Amino acid sequence: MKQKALKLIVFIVALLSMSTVYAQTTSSNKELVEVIYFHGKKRCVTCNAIEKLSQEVVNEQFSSQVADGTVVFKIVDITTKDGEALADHFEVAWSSLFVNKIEGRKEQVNDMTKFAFANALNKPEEFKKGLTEKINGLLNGK
Amino acid sequence: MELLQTLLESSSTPIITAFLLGLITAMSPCPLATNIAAIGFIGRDIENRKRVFFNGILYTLGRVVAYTLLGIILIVIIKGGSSFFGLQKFIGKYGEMIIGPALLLIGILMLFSNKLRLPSFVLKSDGENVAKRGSWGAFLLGILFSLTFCPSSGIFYFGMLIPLSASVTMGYLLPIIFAIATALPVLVVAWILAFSAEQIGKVYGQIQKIQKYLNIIISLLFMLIGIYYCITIYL
Repeated sequence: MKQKALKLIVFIVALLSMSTVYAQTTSSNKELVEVIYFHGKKRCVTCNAIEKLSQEVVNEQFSSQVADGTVVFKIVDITTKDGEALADHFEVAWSSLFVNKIEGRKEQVNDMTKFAFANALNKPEEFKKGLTEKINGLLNGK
Repeated sequence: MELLQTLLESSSTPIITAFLLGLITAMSPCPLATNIAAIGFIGRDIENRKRVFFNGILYTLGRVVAYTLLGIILIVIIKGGSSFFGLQKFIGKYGEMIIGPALLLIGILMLFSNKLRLPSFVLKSDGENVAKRGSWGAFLLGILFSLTFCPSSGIFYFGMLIPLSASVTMGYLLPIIFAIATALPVLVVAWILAFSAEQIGKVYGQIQKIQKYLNIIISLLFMLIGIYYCITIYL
């Protein structure tokens, strides 16, 4: 009897753990576009413009996607421990802008730093347009 | 700036691209504080315009040496197929940490070097030695300021200039062009300011008095910029 009860408990535990694994995989299978702005302690004028404009683009053009979690905007300080780990993953040493598509474990990385530095300060509209197009493209599977 | 950016986008000649990248780096708002310090340091000897000129040359040479040596190492790493991220991260991290205390220390040394009984290499009353000290100072300042990258200069150097240099023949020369271009705006402003200050001094016949005050002002300027960096980085 005791053995039967033990078997039942083991069975239930196994079932529960399987369902959590399944839940984790299904949630990580979700497609999303993440816009990550990295910065250090020194915040240059161009860097601040990139941060402000990117945030504007995400909030104004993709508010519904932000609400349902398909677009995520992150500001990461690379001098913090967690920030440094993420910066190392993307090989970031200075202020940078990344727009990535995450599909489950697949990650399509797009470094938009050069584009951002070339446009954010002098041609803000062009920067916003370029970033919007990039996010839209990734959302539409391009 | 916008004009330079447009020229940069349309440039297909590596030497011109390197030169424009250098100019944009120097004129972007990011390294403004260190550029002001450099202008003050180079242009401070209004009593001797020749020294302003030599300081400028040595400051430029310091930048050339720093950017070129670092460039050679980075190009070799790229050509070897490895990533230079580790080195880039090291310079980015520690350059930022060093610049504040270094500027503060230089400011204190400049302010008190005439009053303190420092070792003979720092304090020599004859003009020639003072000139040499000043010039080596400019050379070292060039190296220090080159290696403390701002976010934007970091992107221009590591992200654009070095990959370009690694992809063309004679790419090792590009950091030299870049370095000269980063120093040019600083040199021009330093020379104009030194020249103007000299003229004002001449008009009032008080060039030595102005020189004395100028030394104090520039020492304080270094200390202020040093404190500013210490606050942004450490607090």
